Amino acid sequence: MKKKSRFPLIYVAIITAILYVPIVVAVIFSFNDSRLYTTWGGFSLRWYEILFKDENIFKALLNSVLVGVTSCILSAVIATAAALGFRKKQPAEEIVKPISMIPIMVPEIILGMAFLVFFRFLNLPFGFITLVLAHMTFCIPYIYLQVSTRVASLDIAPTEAARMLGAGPFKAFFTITLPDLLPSILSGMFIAFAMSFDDVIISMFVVGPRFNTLPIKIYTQVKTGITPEINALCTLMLLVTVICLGASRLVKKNKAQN
Amino acid sequence: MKSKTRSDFKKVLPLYVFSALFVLIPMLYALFLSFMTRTNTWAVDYTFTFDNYRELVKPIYLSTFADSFKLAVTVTLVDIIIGYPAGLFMARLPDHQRNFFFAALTFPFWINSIVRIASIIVLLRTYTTILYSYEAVVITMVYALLPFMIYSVYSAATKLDQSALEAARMLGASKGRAFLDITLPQTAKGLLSGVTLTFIPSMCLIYISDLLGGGKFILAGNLIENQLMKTHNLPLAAAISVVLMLLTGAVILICNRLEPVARRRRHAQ
Repeated sequence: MKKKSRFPLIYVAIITAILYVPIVVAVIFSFNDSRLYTTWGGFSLRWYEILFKDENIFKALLNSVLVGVTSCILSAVIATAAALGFRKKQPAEEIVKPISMIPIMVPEIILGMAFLVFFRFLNLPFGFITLVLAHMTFCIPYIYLQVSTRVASLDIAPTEAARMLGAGPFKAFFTITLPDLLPSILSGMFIAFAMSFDDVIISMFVVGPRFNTLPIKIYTQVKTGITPEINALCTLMLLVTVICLGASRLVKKNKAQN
Repeated sequence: MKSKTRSDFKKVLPLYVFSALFVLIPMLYALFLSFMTRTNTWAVDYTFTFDNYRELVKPIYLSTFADSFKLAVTVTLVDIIIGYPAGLFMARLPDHQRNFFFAALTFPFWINSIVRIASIIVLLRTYTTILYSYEAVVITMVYALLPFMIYSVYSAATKLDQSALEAARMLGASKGRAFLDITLPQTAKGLLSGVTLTFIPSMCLIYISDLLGGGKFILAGNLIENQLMKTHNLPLAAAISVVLMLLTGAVILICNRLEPVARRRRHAQ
């Protein structure tokens, strides 16, 4: 046998490394005392200090978390109930399912446009409500996709036994079905939250004059001029991401051990 | 058990209501709006007209659409050239390396895209002279969409029939021949889904053209943004969206059609 070429490994490694250049640069320069990207002015946390003192960023962050959490919780309820309901054949199922998937299929700009004109038509106040409604449209399919695969392999015998022994439908759901589905609901919610937290295009069209999200705030800031504060923000987001991914990995692992 | 069925319907009811109210109706309303008349700024008069579509045939819109299309083709081609071999190679690596690179490729998606793009802007500004040029837009777009191409090709390539490949080589087929007859047809599906995943966003990622083109390069998506946020011409914005949606549908349709063609090639041999 010919010795296996190392070329594939090297090629893939180089491409991956290139994709990480912007991130690595941002992390390194977030600790750079100098404002310039060409010189190293020594280690410093001054950009983090400036970032923490920036009230607008903080407010936008809070708004983003609020929108993300609210959309995720409401979407999780709708998506989980639907995934359970679709175990039986439902009327107009083959029409409603694709419609509910539209928001993760069509370009975001088209969705954003549709929400803007429709919410204006309804005369809804632009801000929290419009953001949550718009984000829910794409959070629901992400959570549904995760939960429905789990529901398909769900054992219904314990639920039926509990119901026969006199447990009410809610008790049966909370003691048997929910614990079984929880890991898939949570992993769906993690994905949905990340999508909501990162959304620029749809949010752009539904934010209110007094209600900004973090990505929109960063976007307007980057448009006017980039300061190393952005690097500090990138590094912090990286940290939060690592923690979140670690947590979701842990949830899955615990489930596997049970 | 009638009551059981009804209680199951109650479970899907919220999804039915939400999807109808906030997905279907907004899309239909936008379609309807594209045939309405604009009176002034935000205002819309509900009289039927084709004017919005007629407006789009004007050279200024046609040339923007053509330029946006050209940019999307360029970005997609570059992503194929870089990403197709990367996806194939990744599938050939041993398991632990494969999993490592797969995780490494998905990880950046969890970090805010604007933050990553800000870093690219700074890099281009500091080390090159191409910021606010066509090249800058293309490079950033290629960067942003490359993982989708690699991922699509990779997931198709992991299902590649390695034994057919080895048999073909053993029977004396050249490397090129084996690639054309086996690898390419079997990974065509991944390649084409990678094409839709890069081509369509290439016309819609308005913040990339905004931030890296310095406002000089307008995507089809930017046309919609401008009509909504600057001119406030809602019916025209809706009409542009309908055209973009049709274009998107056409791309998906063409890619779906091409896939069996690529497959049939193999059986014809």
